[in-house]
Amino acid sequence: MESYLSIPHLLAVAGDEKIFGWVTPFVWYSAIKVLVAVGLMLTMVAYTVWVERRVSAFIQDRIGPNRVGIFGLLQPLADGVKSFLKEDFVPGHVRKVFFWIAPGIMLLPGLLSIAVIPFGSKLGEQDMVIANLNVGLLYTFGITSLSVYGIVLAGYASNSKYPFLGGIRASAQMISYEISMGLSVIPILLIVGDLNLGNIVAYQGGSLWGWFIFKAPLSFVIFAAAAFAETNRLPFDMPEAENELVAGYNVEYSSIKFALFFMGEYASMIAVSAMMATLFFGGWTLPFFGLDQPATTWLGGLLHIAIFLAKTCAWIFLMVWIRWMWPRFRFDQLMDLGWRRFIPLALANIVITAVVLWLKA
Amino acid sequence: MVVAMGLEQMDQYAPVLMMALVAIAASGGMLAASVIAGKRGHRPAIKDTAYECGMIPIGSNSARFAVKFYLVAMLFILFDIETVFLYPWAVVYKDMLTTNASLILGGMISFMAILAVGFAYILKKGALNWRE
Amino acid sequence: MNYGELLKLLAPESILALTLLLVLGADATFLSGRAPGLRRAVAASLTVAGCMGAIYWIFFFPIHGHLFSGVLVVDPLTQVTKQVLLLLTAATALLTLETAFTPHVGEYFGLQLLATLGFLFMVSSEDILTIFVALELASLSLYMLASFAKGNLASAEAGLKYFLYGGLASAFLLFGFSLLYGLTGETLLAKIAAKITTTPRDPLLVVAISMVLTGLGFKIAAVPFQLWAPDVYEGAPTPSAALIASGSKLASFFLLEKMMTIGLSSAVGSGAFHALAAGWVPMLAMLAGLSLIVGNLTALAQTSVKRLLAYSAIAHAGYALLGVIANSSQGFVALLFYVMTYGFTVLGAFGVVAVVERQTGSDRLEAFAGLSRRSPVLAGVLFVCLLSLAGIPPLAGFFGKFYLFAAILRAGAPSLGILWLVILAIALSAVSLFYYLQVLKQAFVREAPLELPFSVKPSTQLVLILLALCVILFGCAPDLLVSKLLLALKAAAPGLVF
Repeated sequence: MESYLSIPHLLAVAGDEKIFGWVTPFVWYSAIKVLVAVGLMLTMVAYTVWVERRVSAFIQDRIGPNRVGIFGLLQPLADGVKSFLKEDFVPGHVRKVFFWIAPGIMLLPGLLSIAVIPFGSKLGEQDMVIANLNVGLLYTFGITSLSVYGIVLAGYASNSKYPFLGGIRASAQMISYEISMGLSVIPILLIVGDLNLGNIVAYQGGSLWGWFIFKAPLSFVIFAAAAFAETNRLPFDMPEAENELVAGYNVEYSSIKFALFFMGEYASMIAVSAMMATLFFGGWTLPFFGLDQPATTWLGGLLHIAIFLAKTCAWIFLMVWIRWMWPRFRFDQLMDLGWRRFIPLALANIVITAVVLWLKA
Repeated sequence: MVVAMGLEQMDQYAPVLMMALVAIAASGGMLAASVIAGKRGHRPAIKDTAYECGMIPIGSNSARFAVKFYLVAMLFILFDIETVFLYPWAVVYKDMLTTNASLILGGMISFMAILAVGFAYILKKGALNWRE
Repeated sequence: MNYGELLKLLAPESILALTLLLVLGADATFLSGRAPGLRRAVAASLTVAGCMGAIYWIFFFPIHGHLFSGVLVVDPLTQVTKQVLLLLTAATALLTLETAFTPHVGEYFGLQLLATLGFLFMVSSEDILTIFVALELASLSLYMLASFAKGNLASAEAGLKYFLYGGLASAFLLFGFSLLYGLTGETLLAKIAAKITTTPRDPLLVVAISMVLTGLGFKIAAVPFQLWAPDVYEGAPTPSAALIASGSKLASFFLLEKMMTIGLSSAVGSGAFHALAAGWVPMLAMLAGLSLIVGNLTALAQTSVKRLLAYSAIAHAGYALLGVIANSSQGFVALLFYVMTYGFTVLGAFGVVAVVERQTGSDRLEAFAGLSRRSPVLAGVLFVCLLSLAGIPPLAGFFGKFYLFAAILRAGAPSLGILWLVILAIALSAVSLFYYLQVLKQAFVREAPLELPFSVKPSTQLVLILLALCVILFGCAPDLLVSKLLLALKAAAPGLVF
């Protein structure tokens, strides 16, 4: 009994054996991966806030949080505890059911969309991806489309003019850029011929010029801009502009519900950074030292995970940096850019890629 | 009639379901924790009215909004459906270039051309003019 | 199948699609600030040019073929039907010049072209998926056409009723199709027929057939799916109603015939009086009988001519169903002859109604008073068209009905079990003469309060005279069309063996 439940055994279950008599190895390892991934995601969300505050302080020539723990590293913990302990207040004029649902579903798209992203090659015998779906890319875009619901419901539930207008404007912005995002990755699909994200990453192995940022640069530009717009980050920050709409769709929210909106936004930000690292920067591969082949040793596997996390964190840092560097777009400029510039560009990009591939064949 | 290959793919959705449940549990847990651990404040009447920069709210609480938002939503659906049709096309494109290149390229070019003309029509009619 | 070959097969549809884009584009760019009369003239001429171009192509480049043996079928029969559909659309476009109910000219003609595209695809499909897509393309364009007069409450009501009713009917049709797919595992009509091995009394098959008949019966306005027709014909702008009455009917009947005789050929049944057998024939016989009774009897009480034409359309659906019930090649030819000449006739009638509406402001019977003195041309066209609808020789309507009765009786020979339906049809045909003569009485006998002559556009006069001449021509020499249809049907025989 003891050796059956010992940690080395639980981490290396053989093919047919069932743990606790009914859990197959596949389900067991998937459960471990899910729990580790969600835990890591939530920690990263919390510490992205810290990164944002420290980097913004550095850009603005001040210090940022440094009281709570060394370098302020325990600040997110303190903020979290504060959020839980504040008064949980539901105003009398709101629509109760949607008021509770809206922050609840803000985290879901961000967390769910990392289920198909390969964050490593192999660790031991296990693929380092939670769900190796053959329609991975399509799944990701389906889940990203769900992120509009939280904002629209928040605006609708608040039963008041300004949150409603803020919610409508935010959702108009998000759906406009969803089209560009969806269209911009089609050239990648044309080149690879597969929706499986693991295969897309494997295709980029080999050389540095195999990364899709070099093979489909216009796709990258459109996808990056659309990613900023989808997550409501500056310069597409209009829905949260403090001076415009009195904080927009989440005016009536307080304490943890308010925090959940921003956690959802950071979770989406991390998910979209991971997507960009996977689609355009080679995912867990590096074109040197044979690091583009699936790992055979534990060290190789961990190295691949580290490479992936480094690329994702680089993108998160970039998103934070851009926020504190650039001014925001006006709403009509934003919609113009999405509809009148990006969609024709993305469509032309698809046609050109298709024609080039046809001429090469 | 689930195809044999598809059955293994269906297995891959089990982790997705687990992830969804864990994510819902995380969100729900946080909301529940706040209800349990939160302070109980008193409720003066002003707390139950909508917030409009500290003033008493004027007018009804559902604002009329421009019909342009509705147009944007409708156009989003049209272009999203176009994107959905482009995905399977893109996946089989490279393979079909060897067997029937004219059909795969010509078919999609005509489809996109018709939609492009529709897009030009929308722009000309000013449905996407947000200069307010 | 090369893309080039596919385009050649689909050349008429491509020409029409290009015309559509041209009409929309021209109206949005060059003509955006001009006078409405000019815009209407340009759009109508482009539409007519496109239709004529497509007819010319079909006539001079007869290419036949199919895509995946049924998803798209281009054979002599479909080509003849397409030519007639294009002629009907061209005539409708010219009649639209007579009206002035909307500033959105390019969109209106564009929608007419889209509806025609839908009809063309409906006629070329022998696969339930393509049938559904084509049906939806045509139906959605017609819904919009029916509600196009934005300031008019009746038009909005017509469009809404048509849409809601049509959406429900499409849902039934699709469910019937999915049941057929579930029963057979095939989507091609010929293969469905081959695989229906259950007896016609299998409950699931009966449900599937009834649902398909519900969906298609809606399109042809057969009782009990006819409730949309009076309101839509009365409320919709007259050119839209004209297109619904002529083109949509032809395409829908063609589709119904194909669906029943090819797709459900193993579930035929019998509607003979003492020998009823389960299948689609007794269902259609019931539909036909009810349509005849309801259509003819309700039309007796109408005071609005458009509504009268709607109920007469319901009755004519009943007559035309006789051709489908016959389930033979002669029945098919009789059906096509009947519905094609009906299309021309009803276009003539609606054209006259459009002019009268514009000049007097209403389509009541009283508005037609003294028409023979105010505009002899219009009265003459009305005379020819309405008497053809009533079935008076030597006009086309008489021969249409004659062929239908002959075909259905010959198909059941030597037993005359279906005679009950034929007798009903003949009797009610006599009844129908009353309400047609009512309109003619207003036109020829009554005195108008002010006998000011009508000002009719020359294009409208030309079209109406041509339509009336067609009706007379096909009445005096029906063999012109019938022999053509018989030849085309024989040439397309491999798929339509009776």
